[in-house]
Amino acid sequence: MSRLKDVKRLFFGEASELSIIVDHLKSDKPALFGLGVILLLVIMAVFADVISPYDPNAQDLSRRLEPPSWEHPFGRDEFGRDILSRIIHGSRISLTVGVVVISISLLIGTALGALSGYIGGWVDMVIMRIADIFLAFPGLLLAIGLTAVLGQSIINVMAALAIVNWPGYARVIRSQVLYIKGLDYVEASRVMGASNARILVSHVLPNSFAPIIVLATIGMGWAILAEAGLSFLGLGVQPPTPSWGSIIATGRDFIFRAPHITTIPGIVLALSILAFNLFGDGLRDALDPRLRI
Amino acid sequence: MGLETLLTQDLEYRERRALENNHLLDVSDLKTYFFTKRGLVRAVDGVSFKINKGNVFGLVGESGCGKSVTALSILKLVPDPPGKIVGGRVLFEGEDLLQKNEKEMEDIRGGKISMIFQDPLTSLDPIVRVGDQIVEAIRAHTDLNSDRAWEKAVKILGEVGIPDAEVRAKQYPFQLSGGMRQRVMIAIALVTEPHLLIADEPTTNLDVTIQAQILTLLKDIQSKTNTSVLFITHNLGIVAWICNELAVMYAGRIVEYGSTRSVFNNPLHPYTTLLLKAVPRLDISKSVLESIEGDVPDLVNPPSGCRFHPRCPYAKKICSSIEPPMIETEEAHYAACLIYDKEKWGSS
Amino acid sequence: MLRYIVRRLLLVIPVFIGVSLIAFLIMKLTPGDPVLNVLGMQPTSDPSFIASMRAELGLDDPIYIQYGKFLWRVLHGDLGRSIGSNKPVILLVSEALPRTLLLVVSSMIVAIAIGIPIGMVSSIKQHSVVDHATRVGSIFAASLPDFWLGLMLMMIFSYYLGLTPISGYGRPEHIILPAVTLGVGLAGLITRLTRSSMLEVIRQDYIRAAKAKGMSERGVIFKHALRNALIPIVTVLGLQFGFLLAGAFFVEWVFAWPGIGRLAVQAIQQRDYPVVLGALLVTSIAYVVINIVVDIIYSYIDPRVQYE
Repeated sequence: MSRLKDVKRLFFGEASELSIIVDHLKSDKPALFGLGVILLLVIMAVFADVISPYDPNAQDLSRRLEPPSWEHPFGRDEFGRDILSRIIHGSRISLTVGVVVISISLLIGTALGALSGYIGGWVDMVIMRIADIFLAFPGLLLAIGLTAVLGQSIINVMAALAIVNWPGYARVIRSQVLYIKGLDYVEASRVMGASNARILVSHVLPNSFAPIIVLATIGMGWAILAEAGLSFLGLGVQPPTPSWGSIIATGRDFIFRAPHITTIPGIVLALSILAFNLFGDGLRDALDPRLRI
Repeated sequence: MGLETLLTQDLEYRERRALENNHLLDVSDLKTYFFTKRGLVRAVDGVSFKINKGNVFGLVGESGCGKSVTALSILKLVPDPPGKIVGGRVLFEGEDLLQKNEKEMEDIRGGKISMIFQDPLTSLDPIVRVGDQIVEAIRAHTDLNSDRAWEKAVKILGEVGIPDAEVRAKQYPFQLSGGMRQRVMIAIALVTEPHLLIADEPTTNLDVTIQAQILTLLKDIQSKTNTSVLFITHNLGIVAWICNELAVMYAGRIVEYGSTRSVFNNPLHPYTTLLLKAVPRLDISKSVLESIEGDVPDLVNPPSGCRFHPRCPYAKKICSSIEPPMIETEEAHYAACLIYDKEKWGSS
Repeated sequence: MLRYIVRRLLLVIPVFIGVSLIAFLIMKLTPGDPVLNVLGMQPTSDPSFIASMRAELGLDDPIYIQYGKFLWRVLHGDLGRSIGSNKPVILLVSEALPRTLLLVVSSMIVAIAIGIPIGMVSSIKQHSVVDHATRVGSIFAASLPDFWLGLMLMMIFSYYLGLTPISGYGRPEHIILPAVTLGVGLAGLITRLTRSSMLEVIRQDYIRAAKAKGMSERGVIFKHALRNALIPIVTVLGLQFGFLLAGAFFVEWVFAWPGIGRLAVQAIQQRDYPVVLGALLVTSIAYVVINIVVDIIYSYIDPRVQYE
């Protein structure tokens, strides 16, 4: 055990923040469960083609609506397609949407937040007002509205969700920038010639890391939920692409005859969202300085 | 603080001491510990004192010495977890409070024993009208209906010196000034005519001028109603003015105990002496403001033997090995210091 | 008190202008020729007729005049007509909105009825088994996708157990499943919020002071702790109405509850833009008004707000 500590110290330095955080997380079982599921999802998404037992689009109309069996653990859908394979490929869509949406929102949010904080004045006011409106209004409704305008496709869904999501990050970055701006040693380093970019990278970003990563993790959960919901309503992926939401939607017509079509993808979806929420929640607790006495 | 005042208080004190066995409150060997992640904090570690009827008893010490915890322990309001009263006896009017159950304590709290706290802003519920908060105290201990209780609340607001009591009673704490809020707290505490009032640093958070007003108010009320008071403070000036008996606390223990006059005239314990010297005074010119060296002790690992020995200018080797008991040096004046144990002190 | 209410209501005006502006811009940005959208005709129709239609709809006017005319029409309740049914949008919307509000309020009640008691118990018995179970349970509840949950509950309670009607509107039983579906997720959030808020409040000085008055544990909790703990909860509730509103879109769809959500989604799928626009406009206004109502309720609990 002490050897492990030596290694940690080597990599992360003395009395490192990181090791305290990791320790805290290790004792948080729900969070670990969440992390496990997330890793599973990533593997599923990356290796979908390899893992899937069948081609997700291969139809067999003679065997439609079959309940779960040994050959098809999750059963078949209304076109005879293997649901397990469709779910595995669906994870690709969910995770891709999540990652893309969060990445774009992060970029936009960081840029606008930093801009807002540095320049101040009316630029700041305008950006923050817009952010407030976005934050106050239910994001999903806005996303629905945007897809209605932009058209129904997965790309538009991603765009809509990213547009709805950036204000949260902007707020965090902005308050960090404002805080850093006011610190004396930043004034000093500026006098010595450090550029704004340098200050941004070496001060603002590391300090914002904690709240941002919590937001991002929970944001992933939300993005996955939102994509599934929009696809459920027919506003997202178009057939035959297997998004978990669209599978549930089509399963709805057969809910009494073949409940497995709706039930199983939903469980997978719920577990995935739960995983991100649990992990994000655990991260938040672990990063909260108040708990570290 | 003229000599006459001190003399008068001393006389009154001696009279009361004549009624020796009329203790209202008799605390013996009280121990309250906190079980925290960092370790066991011995906040109150064997504290004993007695308060007689009509006395104003001061509990003096720096922050962290355990005086507030002592007060909370008497009313069994110590947050549990992590705190626990682990030993001792608290006799109030002959009955041991530590043996009483929660329901009995609820009767006593706010009834026979009332408490006022340091910060009147945070000790009042911010979203309840001031008058209603007094009414709560009234109705917790009497059978008055709400109208009568309200009348009584308004009345006592006037008695503690709040002008326009009718109007003020309907206001919220944030609408009153600090001094007025403290008066409200006093009103809440006294409306039930308690036998003992515990005042935990009631003026520390107030402006100096308001402090004087509140102290005067307390003194007046005390002399009118003959309520006993346990007055907790770190301010020696206040103690001199309002208390007739006092105990000095350090690191969870009492180090000196006696009448105000004897302690101020003849401080026995080195800590008391240093405390007195550290008070800036306008009447005696001093070139150097004396401070006490060293740091406040860690209550998880307190110093061995006499807890003050690391900072004591007179400390000898024996001080770190033996815990000094309270030694009666003058009449009714005790100090927990080995200096006064001529045998042990001489031989080391 | 009255002054506070009036002040809050006045806020509706700028919001209304903002929302209508956005709706107008969306309308302008909608792909496809608006004339053709409105008329539902193919581009090969008579060009001169289209031209006169265009003039009549004011499409040749400068943009701010178009907005002005739009605003004027909206204020008079003219939101256009549905492409599909040709019924006035305002009629469809005013039928649908109250039903959605009924659903949202019912689910809010469900969420509060479940969330606050459990949150309170959890805070009083901190670190116990109940507490840990509650923490996971509430995150679990908040993670469930409501459209799926609705389908599951429908399957279990309506189909297999036959306790509730499958879908539709009309009798009191119809609201049970939709309200529970929508409320469960929010209940999870409220539980956690109640717990953390109570924990925060219990540490406060005035709780100790109240106990020192001799008040009973129960008295202290209900008269002082809970009321103060409600403040941040109510604050969040306003925001949560937004989530409920969004969720309502899905739940209405699943249970065929004829509210604004169902109306909007159907309209989107059928590309019935006037209805979509009308629905979104009205929903936004409703959201703002609900927030104001929540603010007013909030000022009852925390009187300090009135004096800011």
